[in-house]
Amino acid sequence: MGKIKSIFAKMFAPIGRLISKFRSWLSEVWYKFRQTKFMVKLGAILSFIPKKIASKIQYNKRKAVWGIVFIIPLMIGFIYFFFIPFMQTVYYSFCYVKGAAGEGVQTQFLGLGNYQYIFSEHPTYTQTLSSSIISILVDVPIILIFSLIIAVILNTQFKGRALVRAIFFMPVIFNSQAIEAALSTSTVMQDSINATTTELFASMFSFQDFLLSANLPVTFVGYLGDAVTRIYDIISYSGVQILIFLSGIQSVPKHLYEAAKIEGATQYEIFWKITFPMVSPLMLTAGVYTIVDAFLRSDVLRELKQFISAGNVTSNYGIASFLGTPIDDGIKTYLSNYGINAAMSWLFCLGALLIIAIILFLLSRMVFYYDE
Amino acid sequence: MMNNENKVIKKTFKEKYSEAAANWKNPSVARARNQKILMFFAVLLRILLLAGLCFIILLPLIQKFSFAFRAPEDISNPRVMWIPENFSIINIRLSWELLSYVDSFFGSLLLSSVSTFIQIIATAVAGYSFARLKFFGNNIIFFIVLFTLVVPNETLNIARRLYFSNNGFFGVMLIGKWFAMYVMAAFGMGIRSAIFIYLFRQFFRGVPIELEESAQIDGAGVIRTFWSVMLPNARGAIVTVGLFAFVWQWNDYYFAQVFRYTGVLGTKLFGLSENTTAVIGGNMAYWNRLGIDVDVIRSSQFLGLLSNTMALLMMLPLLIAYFFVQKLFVESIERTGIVG
Repeated sequence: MGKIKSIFAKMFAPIGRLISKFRSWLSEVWYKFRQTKFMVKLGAILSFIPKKIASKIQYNKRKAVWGIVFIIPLMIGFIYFFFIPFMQTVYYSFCYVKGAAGEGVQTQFLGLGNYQYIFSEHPTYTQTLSSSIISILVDVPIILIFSLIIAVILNTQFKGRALVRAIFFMPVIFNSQAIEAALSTSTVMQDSINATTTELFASMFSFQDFLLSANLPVTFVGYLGDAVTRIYDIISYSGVQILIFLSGIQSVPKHLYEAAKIEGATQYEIFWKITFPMVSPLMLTAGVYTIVDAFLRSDVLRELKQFISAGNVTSNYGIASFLGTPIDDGIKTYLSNYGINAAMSWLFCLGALLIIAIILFLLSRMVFYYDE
Repeated sequence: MMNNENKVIKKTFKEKYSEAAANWKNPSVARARNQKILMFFAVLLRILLLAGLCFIILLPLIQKFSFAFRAPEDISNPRVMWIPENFSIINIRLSWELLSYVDSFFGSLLLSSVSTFIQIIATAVAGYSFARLKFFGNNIIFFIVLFTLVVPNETLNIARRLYFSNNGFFGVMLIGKWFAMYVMAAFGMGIRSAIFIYLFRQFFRGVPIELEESAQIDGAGVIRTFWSVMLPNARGAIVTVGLFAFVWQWNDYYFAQVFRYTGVLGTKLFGLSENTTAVIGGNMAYWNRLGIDVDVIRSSQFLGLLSNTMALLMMLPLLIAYFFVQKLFVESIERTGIVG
């Protein structure tokens, strides 16, 4: 490894020298350019007003003004790219929405029609939503505990640590929605691959039987066994969390560990009395990240996909005609795909917020702050 | 003579044995021995655990490599598990051409690097403002930014699509252009920008305030302080944000759908796998020229093989780059101090 590095260093050294030369040349040119009469005058003109203001306003107040100036683009972006679509989603969820690209959007207020359709007529949505919420709630503790354990192990000294760390953070890079989506469409091959993988893991060691024969409660064994069979998912979802915990462990003051060792604490005690309380504030960060990340791959998105393009759905809660133009015969009533999608995604969002609130509430009770 | 020496050796061995036997019950020695045994098993457990987990992580990658070099005739060959019986690069060649790899690779590279650059600047400015340039309502706006992180992007899918296909951004239509990503990044709403703003805020809070004050005493304004004092100190945060922004833009799929831009690896990959049958049906002459049995190609297993290879081709540049920057990647996030 060292040799390869030195070879690369030698290879790139001339490029580095070239870049630094170019930079110094650029700064020289820039300096000369700034010294020309025109630029000096321009600078004086441009800085005239700020200097006038600066001489009159306190530094602290100037800071506040600049703070607002720095935030303005963010606020424009927030309103345009987030707030308007967000409010529109809420509004569309109560509406019949008709529209296509470049035609403008027409809406008619429906009341709770979309929601009534979802809860009483759509075959699978409520089931999928509740099951995915439950599975996320189940996943969060597994992922947090797993990534904490791995972070503790990766923090110890051993040979080949750099390589192991590199491998463990690889899923952060490969978790691509594009790849996932592409692979999920070619089902047959993927199914066979997944089957071989799970079989491979299952056949290695009958974990559940082992635990059951140890007289452990069945629900607990099921939980653990489920976690073991989905080990690949859990690893690939916990890359960032491991990073967070690792940085947390390394920021723990070293003198605490030294004192504990002198007092004769075992590694186990050190973990529970020092490492765990010190990294517990990070549980909040990691927990929220886990939930947000888990929602990006939940099954609900698959349900949402059915209603992504323009169209209508027959329903008891819809409308027969829209803006004067009858859609079909007067007996059937319709709901728009867009409206249903908006209502579904709004419910989905509420679910996400609910879970985050629950997890934050639960975690904030066990958090310990060193400073206080 | 020989006998004598043997005796001496035997004696010493006996002595050693008796010593060990006497020590066996000595509590201090026993404790040390027990600890040694425990340590040995702990190390063994660690090795087994890490090796197993590394194998699990690497498994899909190994599988993808194995698929990439497998000949189309070997798809349903039960004897082939990892190492293909007939090596062929025909999958790679096909995927290379179907992805129009060179073009879309450079497209991805350009899009990702430009939007990463913009995102670093925009989020650093916002993070600095939240950390140090306190004004009234500062914390409320920061809370709003965190709220954008918590709401799943997919929730806004339909509204965004309808809105952007009918309205431009101050008169500039964003649909179908990479420019859309640049605009979103510049206005702090790029791919998970809220995380980056949070990172920068945490980082800038950790920079000693004396640095800023001394710059102020030397007559630096706010922008000068930010540019010449704070940013050079924030190298760790910049590296972290840059790496994540690049990777997430490279792998992005959601915004590519919302803005319907094309010409990058992600859209190519998905566009193909969505209508692979059409692609395959349209290229019949091409397959014949390559000498591949058309029936094999029609099978959906071959499509799986192909999309696996294409996925490999998409992640390969990141993989290669990762092994050069992985140290930077791991260390920088440790130094950024997302703690607290």
